[in-house]
Amino acid sequence: MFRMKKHTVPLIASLVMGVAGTAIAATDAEIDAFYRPYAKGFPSAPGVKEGVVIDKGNVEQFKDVLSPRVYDQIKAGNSSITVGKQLTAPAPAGFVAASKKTAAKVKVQFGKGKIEGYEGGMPFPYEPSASDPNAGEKLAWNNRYGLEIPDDITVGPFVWEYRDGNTGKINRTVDFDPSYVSNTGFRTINKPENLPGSDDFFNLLMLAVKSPQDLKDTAVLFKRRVDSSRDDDGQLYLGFQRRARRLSTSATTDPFLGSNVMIEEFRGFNGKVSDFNWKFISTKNLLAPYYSHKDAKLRDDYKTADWRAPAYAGKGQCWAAVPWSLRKVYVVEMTPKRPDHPISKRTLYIDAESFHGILSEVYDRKGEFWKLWMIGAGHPSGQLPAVAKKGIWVWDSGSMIDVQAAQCTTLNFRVTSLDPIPPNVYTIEAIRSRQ
Amino acid sequence: MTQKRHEKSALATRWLRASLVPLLLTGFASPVLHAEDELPSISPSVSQSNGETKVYYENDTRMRGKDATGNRVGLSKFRNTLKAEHKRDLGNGWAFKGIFRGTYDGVYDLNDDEYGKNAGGPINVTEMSGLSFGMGVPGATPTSVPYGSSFVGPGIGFVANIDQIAFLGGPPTGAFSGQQNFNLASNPNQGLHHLGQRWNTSYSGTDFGNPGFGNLDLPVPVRPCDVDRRGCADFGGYGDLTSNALKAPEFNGRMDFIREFYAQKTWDLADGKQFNIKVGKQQVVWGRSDLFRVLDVVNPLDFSRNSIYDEFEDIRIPMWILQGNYRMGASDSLSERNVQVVWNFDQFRANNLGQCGTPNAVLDAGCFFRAAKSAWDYGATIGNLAPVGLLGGPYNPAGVAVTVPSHQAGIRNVELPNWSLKNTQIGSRFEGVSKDGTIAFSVNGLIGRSQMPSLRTIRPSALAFDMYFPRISVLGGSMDFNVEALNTTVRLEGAMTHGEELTDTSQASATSRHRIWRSVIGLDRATQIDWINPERTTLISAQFFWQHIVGFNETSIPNNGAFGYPLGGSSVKTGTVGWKDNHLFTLLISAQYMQDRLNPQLIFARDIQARANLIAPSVTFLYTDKLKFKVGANYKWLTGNMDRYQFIDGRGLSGTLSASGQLPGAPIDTGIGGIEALGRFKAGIIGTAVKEDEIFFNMQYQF
Repeated sequence: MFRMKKHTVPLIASLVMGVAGTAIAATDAEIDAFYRPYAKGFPSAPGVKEGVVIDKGNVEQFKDVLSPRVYDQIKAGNSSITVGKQLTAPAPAGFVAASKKTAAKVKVQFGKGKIEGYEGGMPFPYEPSASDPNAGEKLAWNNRYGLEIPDDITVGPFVWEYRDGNTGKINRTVDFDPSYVSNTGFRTINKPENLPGSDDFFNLLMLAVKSPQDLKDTAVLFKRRVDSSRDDDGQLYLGFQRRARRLSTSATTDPFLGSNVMIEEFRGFNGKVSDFNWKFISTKNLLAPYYSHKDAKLRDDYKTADWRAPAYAGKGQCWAAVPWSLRKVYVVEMTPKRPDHPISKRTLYIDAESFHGILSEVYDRKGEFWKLWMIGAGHPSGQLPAVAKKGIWVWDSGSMIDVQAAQCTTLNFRVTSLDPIPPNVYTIEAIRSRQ
Repeated sequence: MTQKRHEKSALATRWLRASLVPLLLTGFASPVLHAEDELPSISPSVSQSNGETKVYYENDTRMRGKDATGNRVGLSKFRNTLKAEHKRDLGNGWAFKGIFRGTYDGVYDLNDDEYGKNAGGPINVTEMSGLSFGMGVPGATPTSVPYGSSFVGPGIGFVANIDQIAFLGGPPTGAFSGQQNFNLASNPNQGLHHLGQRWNTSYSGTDFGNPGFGNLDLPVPVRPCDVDRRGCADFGGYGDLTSNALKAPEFNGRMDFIREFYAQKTWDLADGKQFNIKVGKQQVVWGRSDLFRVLDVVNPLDFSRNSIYDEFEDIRIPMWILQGNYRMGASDSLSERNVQVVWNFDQFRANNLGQCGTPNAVLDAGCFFRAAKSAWDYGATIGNLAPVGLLGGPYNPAGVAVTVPSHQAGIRNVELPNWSLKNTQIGSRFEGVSKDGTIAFSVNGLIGRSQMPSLRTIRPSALAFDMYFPRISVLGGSMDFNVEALNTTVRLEGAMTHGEELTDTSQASATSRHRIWRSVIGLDRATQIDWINPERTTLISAQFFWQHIVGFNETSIPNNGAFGYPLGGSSVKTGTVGWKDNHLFTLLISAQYMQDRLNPQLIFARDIQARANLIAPSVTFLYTDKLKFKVGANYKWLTGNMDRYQFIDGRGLSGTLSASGQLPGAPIDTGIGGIEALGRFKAGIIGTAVKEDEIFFNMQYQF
C-alpha cells in the first residue's frame, strides 16, 4: 500500500531551533523498524529475569536499568519492584502508515510550537540522533501524538487516591466517572475521520467527578490546541456553582483538583511544547511498569463485575504492585521557559513502542527532586475484551509521588472501551447538562 | 444554686432538642416521630443498580455581636439541614434527579429573646417634643412615649385631622373607610422593635436635618406570626411565617422540601445534533458572575437562608420549569451552538427577603414591609410624625408621636400574581463558542414578573400602598475569554431590564418605571504567590459591578418647615430612591493547601456609593471525603456616615395621610427626611447589615 521511499534531508535549516523545515529523515523501512523495537527480540540486562525482586538489598546490581530517582527510592527502602514478563504490542498498521504520510510533509517550527502538515501517526517516526539539536523536541511531538492516546479512550471508574506518602492513609478519593479522551484529526485506530474542531484542536478530554461530595458533579473539559504555542482551552464546571468557568493558563501547572498531578503532567507531559526547552539525553533500556493486568496484584476496592484494580504497596502505598519489565526508552530533559513555572526541570522517559511518558522525574524551582511520575501500561491481553481487541497498550495503574510533601496520588483505571466517543461529549453544554 | 442548675438543665434540654429535631425531619413524610425510632432508618449512601441515593447532614452555627442598639445578639443561626439526592434511570432514555431538603433552625428556640416568641418588647416611641410627657401620659419621658399611648391619637382625646398631619394644614378632605381606632388589646405594646434598629439608631435622634423635630420612628412587630399576627402578610414567600415555618422553612404549601425534581431526556439528531428536554422543579443558571447576580435571574433567591453568604445553588428557589435545549453543534464560525428555551410555568415566586424578626432580613426590607402592614391593619404610634406646633399655640419645631388608626397608612394589599398563562415566565438563551474556543458567549432574554416588589400608592401621594410585582423583561448577554499575555480570564456580563418599578417620591404613585442596566466585569487570575504557597497558584478573582438607572430623577428640597417656620437642617433628597450609577467591587483570594483539603479564603466587597464594606475570611478543612468543616466570619463597616442614605420620608408631603390623597394641585413637600424608611434602599445589602457581624462554624457530613 505504501511504497518504500527514500526521503532525503532537504533542509539543514530544519535542524536549527525556531526555523521551519521538513523533518523527513527516514525510509519506510526505518519507520517500520522504529515502530517495532522488539521485532528482533526484547532487550536484556544482567540479572533482569522474570520473577526477580529488586529491593534495597540488591538494587545496586540493577542501577543501570533503573531511572535515577526510582533507584534512589528503592535504595531508600521505599519500594521494591518485581520483574515481569516482557510483552509487545506493536503499533497498528494504520497508525504506522499515517506516520509515513506525516513524516513526508510535516513542518515544525522548533521552539515555537507550530506544526504543519500533520496527517496522523507520529510526526518524527525514526530514531532520534544525539547530533540532532531538535531530537528532544521531536520526541516531545511524538509523545504528543503517540499511541498513549489512541483515537478514543473511555475510562470508568477512574479513581484517584490522595494519600499520605508516609502512612498510605487515603485522605481523599476522587472518582472520575465517566472519563473520555479523544483525538480529533487523522484518526487511525477507529474510523478514519476528522471530528468537528480538528482544525484547532488535536485532542479532547472530559473528566466528570462522581465523588467526593465537595467535588461532586465537577467536570473538566480540556481541549488541546494543534498550535502548541497557544494556551490550551479549558473549562471547569463546578457542581456547587452549576456553571462552567474558563480555566486560566496557570491552572495547568496547579495540582489538579488538589492531587499531586498537574494537568501539564497528565501522561507524563500534557503541556505546550513551546513552553519548554527540550534536550534528548539518550536511548536506553530501562525497567518500567509495562505488564499484563493479569500479572498484577489486584485488590477489591472499586471492584466491578469484570474488573479489579491493581493494588498499591511500598512506602505510603504509593507504588503500584505491578510487574516491571525491561523496555527501550528515550530519555528527554525538559526545562521550562517561564520563570514562574513551578518546576526547574523534568526528565521524561518515553517508551519506544507506545510512546507513553512512562516515567518522569520532576525537580522544583530550586532544582531539588520533587515528584516521581509512573504510569503502568497494561498489555492488551490483560484488558477487557472491548479494549483487548484494539491491540494497544493502555493505562492500567499510575502514581505521582511528591517526595517533599510526603504525599502521593495513586490512579486506578478501568479502561472500558477504545471505541469512538460522540464528539458532543466534549462541549460546554455536555459538562453542564450532566446533572 | 438549685435554680442555676435548673437553668443549665433547661439550656441543655433546648440544645438537645435543637439537635434532635433535624434528625426527626429526615422522615419527610412523617411529621411526628420519635428520634430513637428514626435514627437507624437514616439511609447511608446507597448505590443501586438503577439508582443512587446520597444523604447529607449540615450544621451551620452563627453568632453575632451587638446590634445598633448595643444589645448583644448572640446565636443567630443553629441551622441543621438534611439533604437527600436521588438519581435514577427511568427507562426509554429518561433520567430522574431529585433533591430533597429539610431544615431545622434551632435559633428560634435557643435564642427566642432575639428571634423567637419572646423577641422584641414594649417600646417607647420617640417624641422629641415631650408632649405626651408634658400631658402626663404614663410611661412617657421627655423624648418618648409608650407605643399606643401618645397624646395625639384617636381615643386619647385628639382625633387626628389627617390633613393637619400634612404640615401645610388645610381642611379635611373626607373620611377614611374601615378605620378602627387604635386598640391596645389587639395591638399591644409588646414584641416590638423600632424600624431600622438592626442597623441604625436614627429613630431616637435629631440628626439628618431634623434638629429639634427628630427623625421618623416606626414601630415594627418582630415575633413569629403565630405569636403575633401584626404586620403578617405573604410578601412573596415570607412575611406571614409561623414559628414552625421559620424553624423548618421548606415544609410549606409550596413544598419547598422538594428542592429539585425533574426528568430529562436527550434525543440524538442527525449530524451529531441533540435535543434535550428537562422538565420538573429545577434551577436554571445563567450568567458568569459570582456573589451577586446580573443575568442569573430565572430562579428567585431565598436570602432568608443566609443572606448573601450561601452558594446560589442553595438559595435559588427552584421552580417548575420546562426547558428545551437544541444543541446544534459546530458551524463554520462557531465550535458550539446551543439554543435554550425556558418556560417557568410555576406560580410566581418573589425573592425571599427574610421576615422581620428573623436573622436574615436583607435590606431590612421585611421589617419595613411588616411595619407598614401592621400600621395599615392595626394602626400604629409613629414617632415624630408631626411638629407640635400644629396643635396650635406657639410654634415649636419638636416632633410629636401620633397614634394613627388602622386603614390609614401602610401597606393595604399584597398583589401576588396568581397563576395564569400570562404570569408565567419565558426565556431563551443562545450560547456559542468561537471556532478556536477562545470566546464563549451567550445572548439571553426573559420576560416575566419582577422578583422584587414595588409599592404603589393607593391614593395620590398617600402613605398607603399596595404591593405589586410588575412585569419586566430582561435582555442581556455574557462572554468570557482568556488574555494569555496576562494569564487572566475575563468574564463580562450585562443585562438591560425594562419595566422595573422603583420607589419615586416625586411621583404621586410613589413609583416610576425604569430601564436598568446591570453589568459586571470579572477578572480571574491564578497567581503564583510564593509566600502564600510556593507549590501552587492562589486564585485572585476581582469583579466590578455597575448598575445604571435610566431616567433616574433626584432633586433636593429645602427643609421649609410648616407654616413658614423652618424646622432647621439641610435639604433632603427626593425622587428615585437609589443611586443613578451604583458600583460594587468584589475581591476573592483563595489558597489551597494539603492536597486542596485546606482552603483559606478571603472575600472583600465594597458597595462604592453606599460606602459599605464587607470582609469575610473563612477556612475550609476537608477532614475526610465525607466530613467537612468550615469556620469563618463576616465583618461589615462603613467608610462614610449615614447621611448618604438620607431621603425624604413623606412627613412633609401634602396629602400623605389624607382620605382623598393629595390636596388640590401639585403635592407640596416641605422637605422632611431621614434614613428611615427609604434609606435602606440606598444603604444596600451590605450597608443595612453593618451591625450583623458574624462568626460561624459549619460542618457537613455525607452519610
